Amino acid sequence: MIKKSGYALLSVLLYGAFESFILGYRNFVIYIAVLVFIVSADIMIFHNGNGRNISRLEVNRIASKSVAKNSSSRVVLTFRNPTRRRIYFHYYDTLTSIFRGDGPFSGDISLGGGEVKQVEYTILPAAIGRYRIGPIIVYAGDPLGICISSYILTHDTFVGVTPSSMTTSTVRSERLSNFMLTQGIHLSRSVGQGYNFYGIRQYEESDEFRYIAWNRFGSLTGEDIYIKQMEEERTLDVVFAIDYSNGVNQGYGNIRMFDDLVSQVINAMYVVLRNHDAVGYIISSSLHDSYHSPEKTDKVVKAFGEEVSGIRPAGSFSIEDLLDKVGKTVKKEALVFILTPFAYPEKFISERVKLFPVVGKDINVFIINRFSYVKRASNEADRLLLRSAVAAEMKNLKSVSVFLNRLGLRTRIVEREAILVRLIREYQYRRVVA
Amino acid sequence: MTDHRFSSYFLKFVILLPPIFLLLVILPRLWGYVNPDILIPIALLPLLRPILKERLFSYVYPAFTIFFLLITLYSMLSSAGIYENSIFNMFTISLNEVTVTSIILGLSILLIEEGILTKKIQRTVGSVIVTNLFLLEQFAALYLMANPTAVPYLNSTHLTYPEALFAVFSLEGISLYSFVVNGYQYLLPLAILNLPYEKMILALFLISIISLLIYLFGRGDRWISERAVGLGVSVTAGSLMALVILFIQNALSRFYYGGAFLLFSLLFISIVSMAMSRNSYNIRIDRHKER
Repeated sequence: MIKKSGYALLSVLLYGAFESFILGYRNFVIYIAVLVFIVSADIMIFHNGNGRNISRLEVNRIASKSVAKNSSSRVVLTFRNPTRRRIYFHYYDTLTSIFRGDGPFSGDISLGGGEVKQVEYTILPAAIGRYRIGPIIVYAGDPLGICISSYILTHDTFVGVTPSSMTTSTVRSERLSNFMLTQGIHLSRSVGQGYNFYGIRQYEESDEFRYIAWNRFGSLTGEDIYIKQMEEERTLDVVFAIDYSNGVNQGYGNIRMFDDLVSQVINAMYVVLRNHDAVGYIISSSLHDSYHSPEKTDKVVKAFGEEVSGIRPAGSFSIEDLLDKVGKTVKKEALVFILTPFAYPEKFISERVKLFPVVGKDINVFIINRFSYVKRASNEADRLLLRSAVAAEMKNLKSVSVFLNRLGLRTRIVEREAILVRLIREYQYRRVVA
Repeated sequence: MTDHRFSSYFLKFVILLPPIFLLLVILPRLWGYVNPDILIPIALLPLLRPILKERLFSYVYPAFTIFFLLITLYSMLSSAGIYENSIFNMFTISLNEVTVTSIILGLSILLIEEGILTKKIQRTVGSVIVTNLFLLEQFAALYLMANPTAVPYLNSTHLTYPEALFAVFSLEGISLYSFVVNGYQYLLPLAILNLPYEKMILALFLISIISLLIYLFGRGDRWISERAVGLGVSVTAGSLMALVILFIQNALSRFYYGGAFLLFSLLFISIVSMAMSRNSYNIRIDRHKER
């Protein structure tokens, strides 16, 4: 394609040709004719040579389909010139804003006939989800710099970014998670009637005779009776329901809400699994609808990680639909955690209370405060504006919280830093009162 | 495509050598026919560019044009006796050929300066072409003054500068008229005049072409050797084509169709090159599958 400067140059020269034609001054005629022919020859030779040959380049890109967040992954580009003529070009591998490219993801290459060249660079993903690398764009310019030819070579490559082990700290260290979250107390067993021996205590009148520990009879006073205590295994199903709509796709730099939600839910899942309880999940939005029934193995966590690495937040969120789904799919005894920012709130007015589905389950709603994901204001004016916006938002969220509490849903507004702690605290509370 | 290096200014100066040479030849001879009060302000206008900021400088030409038009209007009104003011009298200009020559020469100097100072090469080439038109006409007028019998149709032995300039304009008009009406030119105004400094001007035009090519080539810093080969091919092919076309044009000049042939050849080659460019942008290639 001729650039604007090329068209301008050609136009000026053609005007000059007309002028020389009117004047008929021989030297000027030669000057214009030579210039017009050289510029035209340059354009024609470029478009029939290098400008066209770059479209014949064979490009192959090898990139890992799945990469962990914040860990670099290698991308290999192979360029082959299948023609007999030399091709020179500039290539650019278009990365999304989510990848930080390190190395020659763009550069100049000159390839002789049949020659092959390989370049390698690394990408460092900053957020989980499914992202696109590419396409590879190649372009070349003519010797006089008045034309450019560009082509898109290769299809897009999609890379799934899985949660990083750095953010899911509970996976690595049980000691750390015990210290931070559970204080080493496992609450999955309940004393009562069961098959496993727990201990003995003094007999009370309401106790059943069959559990009397006859071998301890009279061991202290000669008449004292003891009873065997048995314990029973009581597992709790914990289901994490995440809003994965456009509403969670907010944040700046490396701080993104959906990224935080996923990593903190994974952390919470590991804590629950260590407590011998079962975990499941629901990913909910108008475009994403997925449910994994609670299991006691970390297969669920892996499935969750894989699933979120293949999608990105999209669509809208409706708590009514989610409650409906919870009511239909999740077992009655399960503990359900719903995490959403209510970025696009529904109409939470009193008249609608009766319209909400009656779930009849132990549901905790965590409203994520969006202002944890807003960049701090750099000047006083912005700070004041932000402060008033925060006040308005908090008022709105509190009224939503009150509304949901009226429905029997235990609702809390949480900050970014407190998501995991709140989740575990609610889980432990439920464990204690169960 | 902007460049502020000294070498780029130097190359633009060399590109503009033909009009600069013509100006140096013409200006001393025409000094008696110019009004320095008009010529010098016009010629100095581009020198405000380095002093003023770009945004402020964009107002300089419109402001000067308005000022100049107001002066012309006042001069017309005062000469017709319609309106006169003692304060404005100091700005009066005489509406004659001296003013016209001063404006034309002033504009030529302005365009040469702009051609050197501009950031876009197409403006420099435009300056070369437009100033060549202005200055060649002046050059031809000067030549006609010295050799009034050079044009057989004029039947004159003495020509003043305005008469000579009018004669050149008339010859251009006849040339254009004959092309439009008859389809060929039976009179090429500057071809029939045997202008001096022929070889010098030709050499300067060739130097200008080479400088332009060097400037265009030097704008990119990638693939130097590959582009140099490409440039060599383009220059050779372009020059050969020009040689053939000019040879045919020369042969056809006897039948008055030389100019028309050349003009249509240039138009044709430009259209072909533009048509080739149209089909070459951003074609998505689907046959390279991802592995």
